[in-house]
Amino acid sequence: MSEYTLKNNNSEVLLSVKHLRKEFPIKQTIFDIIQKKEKKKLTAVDDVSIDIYKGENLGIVGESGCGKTTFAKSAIQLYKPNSGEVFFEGIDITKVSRRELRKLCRNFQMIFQDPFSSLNPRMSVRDVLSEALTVHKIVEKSKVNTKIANLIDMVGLNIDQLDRFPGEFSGGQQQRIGIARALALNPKLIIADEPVSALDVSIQAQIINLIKDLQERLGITFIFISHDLRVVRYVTTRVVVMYLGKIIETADTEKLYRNPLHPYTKILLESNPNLDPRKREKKSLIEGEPPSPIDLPKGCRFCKRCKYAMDICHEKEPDLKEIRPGHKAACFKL
Amino acid sequence: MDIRCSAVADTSAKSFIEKKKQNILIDTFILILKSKALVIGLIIIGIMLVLALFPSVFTKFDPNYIDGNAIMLSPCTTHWFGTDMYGRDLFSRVIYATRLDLFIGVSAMFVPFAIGTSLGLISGYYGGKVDALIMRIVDILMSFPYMVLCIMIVAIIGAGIKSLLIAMWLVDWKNYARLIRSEVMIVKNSDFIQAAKVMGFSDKRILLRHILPNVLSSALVYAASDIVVCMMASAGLSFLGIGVQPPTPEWGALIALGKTSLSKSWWQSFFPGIFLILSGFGFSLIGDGMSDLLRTRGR
Amino acid sequence: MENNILEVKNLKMHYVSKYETVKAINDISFSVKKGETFGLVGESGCGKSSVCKTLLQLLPPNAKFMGGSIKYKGKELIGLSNKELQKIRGREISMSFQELMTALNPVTKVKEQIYEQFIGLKMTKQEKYAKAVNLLKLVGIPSPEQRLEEYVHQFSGGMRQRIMIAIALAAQPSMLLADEPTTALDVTIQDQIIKLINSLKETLGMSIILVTHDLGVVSQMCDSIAVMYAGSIVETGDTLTIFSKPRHPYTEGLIRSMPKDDGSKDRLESIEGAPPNLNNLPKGCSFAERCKYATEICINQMPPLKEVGENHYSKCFHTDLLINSKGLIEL
Repeated sequence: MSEYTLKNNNSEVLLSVKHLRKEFPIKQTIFDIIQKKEKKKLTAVDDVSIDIYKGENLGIVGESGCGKTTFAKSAIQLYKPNSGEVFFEGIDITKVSRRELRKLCRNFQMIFQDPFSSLNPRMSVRDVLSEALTVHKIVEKSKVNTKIANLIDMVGLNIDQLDRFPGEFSGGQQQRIGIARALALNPKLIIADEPVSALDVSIQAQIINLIKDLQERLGITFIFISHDLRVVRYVTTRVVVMYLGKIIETADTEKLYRNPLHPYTKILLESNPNLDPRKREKKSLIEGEPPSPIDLPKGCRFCKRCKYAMDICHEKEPDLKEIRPGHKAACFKL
Repeated sequence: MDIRCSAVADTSAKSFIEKKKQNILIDTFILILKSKALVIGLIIIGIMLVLALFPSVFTKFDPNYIDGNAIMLSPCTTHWFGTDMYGRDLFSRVIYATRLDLFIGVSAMFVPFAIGTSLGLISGYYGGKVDALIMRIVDILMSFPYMVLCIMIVAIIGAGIKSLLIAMWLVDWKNYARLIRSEVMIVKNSDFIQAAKVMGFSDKRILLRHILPNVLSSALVYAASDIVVCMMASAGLSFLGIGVQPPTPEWGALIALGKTSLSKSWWQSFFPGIFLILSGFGFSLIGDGMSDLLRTRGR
Repeated sequence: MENNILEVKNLKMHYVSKYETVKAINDISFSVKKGETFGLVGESGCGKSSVCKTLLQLLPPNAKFMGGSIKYKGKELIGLSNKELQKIRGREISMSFQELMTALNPVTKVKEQIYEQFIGLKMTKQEKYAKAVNLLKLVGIPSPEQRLEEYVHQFSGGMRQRIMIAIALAAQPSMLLADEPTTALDVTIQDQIIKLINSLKETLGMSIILVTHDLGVVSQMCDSIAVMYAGSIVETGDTLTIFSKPRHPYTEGLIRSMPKDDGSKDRLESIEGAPPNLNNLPKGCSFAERCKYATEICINQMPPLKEVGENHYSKCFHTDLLINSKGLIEL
């Protein structure tokens, strides 16, 4: 753990996200227009700033709708953010041309949640990989087959499965193909969006091990998005907790899991079902559900569900501040 | 980052490339044989094609030769389908008409298929103003009955095969555009299109390599049944006298010609009608079989 | 046994179609005690949901029942007519489904959907209303009078699951089949639902069969469990025993492939390969192919369900090798 902390402090920033905001407009019905209602919007990512360091594995956790996927996708410009800047190797990639962006995109790849829908059902594994390699001219034409064999071997698939179509593979194998495709472009950053949650437990471990191995071998930076807190603890080196589009806490993984500061993080971690059947609580720690990200209440987003909420929490929004070295949280109580 | 690879992997990779092409051909053939509908449909249309390509092999009569001694003969050993009121051999007229009808059916389908598919792709993928424009045109075309529009266009540019085709091209693409558009809207949100975007592929590549193969199947199935509609429409227009002009043999025109003396000589309308129905049946079977085939391949 | 509410013996069910026979349930036996939560644990496609559907005989037409018996309160369910079954479904044994959006009717009010459960019971309108309000209160939905008049899409995911449970409980069943009740939910909401079902079980004295793949949920809810693999029960016993001392290689592998709660970064022990296809099961043990203990006998013969401890059974030839195996927790 300390080894990772050191690495983070010393190593350089790969991607620097500054004040990123992404909103989705809500479609108005005819009645809304007639009644001249104000146009509503859903703020999925609200003023998020974070530095992602080279070689780290950054986990993003939070409940569905907290904006973790939208954040990652808008960071690599898959969604056009409404405002904010994202610096990659000194270039603000929110401002480059489409052509330029397409070239830069090579450096960021994604692994998706649903392995089947992330693969074109009408392309064989070979087609998928060779397309990636040839379009960006990653290797010479003559070496494409060698490189494909390499990739396939790296993700633990067999070379005689190359000409099969995605439908002929099991979920775990499909995910391996997805990983091979992401690796084909020699990316610097891979965003893994719930890469194991669609898989069965016994297959999950295979994919988690594979991701860890690849990271160690190739030194690729990962953003690992998951709602499975146990997996995140195992895989990542640093964690970001998001709630309704904002980062509410961030720290090195072990620090955060052992000593969560924000009340929401505490509840989140304790809500994770304990694996010991002897430790059963009678009462749930938290009542209610997150409010809708449309028309957010004034003040802290969590105050309605927070048992420590004070007057100020309903008035002002807390900033993310460094509570301990390398451990930031957004709460007035701290 | 770059990983060295053994020579063994290289050679085996090459050998697999060759294997691949063979497999796909054989697999497809076996799959076709498995579908009864497809086999029967292909046989019917195959026979029609042979008739259309080599009509002179099957009949010694000139379809336009007027024989004053053989007016309105009922089917017999020399004139299998009988003769019409000018003494022309109906069998050879029906056979020669096959070529024209198949040609009209296929070409009246193909051009709208191409136009509609491309417009549907663009409309569904880009959305926004382009989509609104294309879809409003489609809506306008949809609001008129198919035949009425065709008749209107033919009436403006004049009767004949050429104008018949132009009318059908102008009207028929709307169905393909709608069909493809709705499919594209579904496919474009799937993860593999997101993946293709992340890989930095161009829009052209995403549209043609990734979206098109996944939306084409339903359009292909529709096209097979659309040929039937086109053939019926062209026969209908010819029946009304604004399509193929006499004396060129065409099934619709033949039926129209026979209708005046239907009570005296049933064969004049009957045999071209049978051919029209058979070809329609054949194409629908192909469409049916294809939809099964494409569905199983997709899985 | 007197206090067993449900006894399933040698149940077999296959899905038969023109092309293949899918052996979904292969000779499984288990019993559920009164007032306990029994977990059916396994990966997708292992047949756990099919077991639930077979219990209520809610099977598609291509399902062929191949033998065995299901005794509920001492009464045989197999072979009952549809009419007799309808008296059992909902009234005696009720089911809550995983897919909330499809299992609830989107075009009728929640009220109507709950009233449907009262059909056949002689109740006045006022009684029905009062009962429905009570049900929503019971499952923890605030301001029930108002919410009864709403439609399903007006509820959030967690609230929908609560409604699903309220509907399942409407006719006061003695047994609830819960098919992945928390899978689609977020952690905090999952926690709420787990606790809700646990408390309902105690106040109403129900028995619950819980179908899930999530070991965390199992540990928080189940008194005893059966681990399923490829249509068979491979290990069964009480939760604590199985979590601490698994005696089947599959259970052991499943447990070891979970990341630990202590933050250790040791490599996960994954089970290599994938489960076999249910339409083409091997002759011997269906896990043999992926099992590190497998020997020749495993490939050629089907292992018997052996008693390895008090109320603890394992379907394996090599249970002795696993005598010191470490589970998720230490006793």
